Amino acid sequence: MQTEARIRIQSVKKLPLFKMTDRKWAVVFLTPGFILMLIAYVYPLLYSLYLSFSSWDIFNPDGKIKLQGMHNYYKIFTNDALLSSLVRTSIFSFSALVIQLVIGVSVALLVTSEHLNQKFTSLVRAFLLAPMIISPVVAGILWRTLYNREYGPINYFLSLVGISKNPWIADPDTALMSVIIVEIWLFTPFVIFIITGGLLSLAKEPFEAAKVDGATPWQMFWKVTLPLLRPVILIIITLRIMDLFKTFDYVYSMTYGGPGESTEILTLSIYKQGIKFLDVTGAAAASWVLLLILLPPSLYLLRKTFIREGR
Amino acid sequence: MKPKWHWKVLGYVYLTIVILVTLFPVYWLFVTSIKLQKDWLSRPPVIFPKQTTFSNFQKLLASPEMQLAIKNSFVVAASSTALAMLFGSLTAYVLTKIVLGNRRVNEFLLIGILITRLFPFITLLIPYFLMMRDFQLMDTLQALILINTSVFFPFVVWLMVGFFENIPREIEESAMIDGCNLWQRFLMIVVPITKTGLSVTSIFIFIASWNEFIYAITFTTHQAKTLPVIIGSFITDKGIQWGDMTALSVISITPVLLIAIFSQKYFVRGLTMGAVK
Repeated sequence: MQTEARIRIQSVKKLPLFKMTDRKWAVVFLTPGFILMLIAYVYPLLYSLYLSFSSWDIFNPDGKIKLQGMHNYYKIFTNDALLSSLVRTSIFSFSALVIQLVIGVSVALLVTSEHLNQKFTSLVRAFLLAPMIISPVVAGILWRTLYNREYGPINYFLSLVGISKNPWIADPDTALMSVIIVEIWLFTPFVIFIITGGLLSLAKEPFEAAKVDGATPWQMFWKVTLPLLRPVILIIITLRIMDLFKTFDYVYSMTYGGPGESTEILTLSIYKQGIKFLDVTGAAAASWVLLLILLPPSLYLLRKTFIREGR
Repeated sequence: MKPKWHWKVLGYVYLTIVILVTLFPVYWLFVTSIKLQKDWLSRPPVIFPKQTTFSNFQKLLASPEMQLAIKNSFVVAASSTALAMLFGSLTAYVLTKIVLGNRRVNEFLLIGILITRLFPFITLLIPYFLMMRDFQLMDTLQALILINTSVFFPFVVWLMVGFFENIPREIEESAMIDGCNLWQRFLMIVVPITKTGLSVTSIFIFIASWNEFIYAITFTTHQAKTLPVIIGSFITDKGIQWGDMTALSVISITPVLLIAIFSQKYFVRGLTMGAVK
């Protein structure tokens, strides 16, 4: 059963390019994509940037968009709700990331271990696919039933081991933690698959050499496996940070940001501000702030995509 | 050197716990959808129901609103996949294989397309919202198809570049000598050779667009609602509607489940590759 993924880093520098021979066809091939990029990315992004520096009374039919400088951005950094949403998003993202990495690496090491029964580990790998068939929106609904205080199975299982009823997503104090648990359930399998693929594609020699030198499994992990796995882990961290900061679907269907604002992460508060309360200029500015936050990991990923790893 | 037996036991126990925690919610979803109503409102919860029913499914599948949503989901996912695949692979092919004046131009265009992957969707959502309003495309399938095609176009380009660059140069050269033009080469050589790549990519795009939520919930109100929109709007707890909620969820994951069962290899490759690129 081949369920592992391999990370392939590609480079456009070495593309086997041909000279242009039939210009007419090349134009036909490129035109639809070109038009799509213009109307779906170039224009909307410029529009959104323009909005973020403007004011607009959208409820007034004669209201015009007026440029007014940095006002919307200034408002973000004096707005407690948005700032606390940013803090919340960071807590959510970083705690989920750390736990996903720890579980990801440990499970990947175990399912690739030669000391465990191969049939068992390949079964584990197949079962780990399960959350991947569940779409995030459905996951939100599903976990709402699991977390249900009275009829949910989680509180029931916990009561079997003597833990009293937990309100989970019904209480502002535990809601964010409950959202993190769903995130871990939903996306850790993905982390496991990538790390498993990374582990399987590592060269055997360093491990054999370390064995000959009498390294303990513990030393082997810290001194050999982890350094060799570094490029894969860095890519995963980047991808996960970008996706974690963009989390939306299951939070929407599970808590819609509540109770109170306890699970209102950035995407959700921008969504509410722009689409629900129609403060489109303020929401545009906030969305560019999110874009700037994601710029460093984005640039890192971009660089990695174009530079072939020297191995 | 063999690890001590208790380390092995610990490994088995850990993996078993991971698997139980992973699988139980999925089991719960399926089992709740076929439980009798009295069983999902019982304390302690019924983990293994003695009686099952398909009435939730019958009720949902008979309702015109659900039929419309299922149809909409299929139309949107299939059309966007087809369009994004067509436009994306044409673009990817030219950008990988034909020098557009200078290699720098190719690189520039490819990087430009890749960068779109890095924008948070929310940055595009606000302008899309205003554009859809201005062009009166709110609550139309066309709007969803257009948006999904645009959103997944860059993915297709990036995934397909990876497959196209592996086509041996000689094959295309000999076709060029035989006088094949770009279109003939694409149709008769490139498409058959990259069948696997095209399938993996379409599976990935189909699933992503089938599950697409944020644009669907923003741009549909009645006529163009897709399944995720209906599932997402269970947010108001009008009493507990677990039967409906879970049955509808099961319906919505069925196509993905079928893909996962019948082409597991493509499924995993598609999901992981799509996210890595």
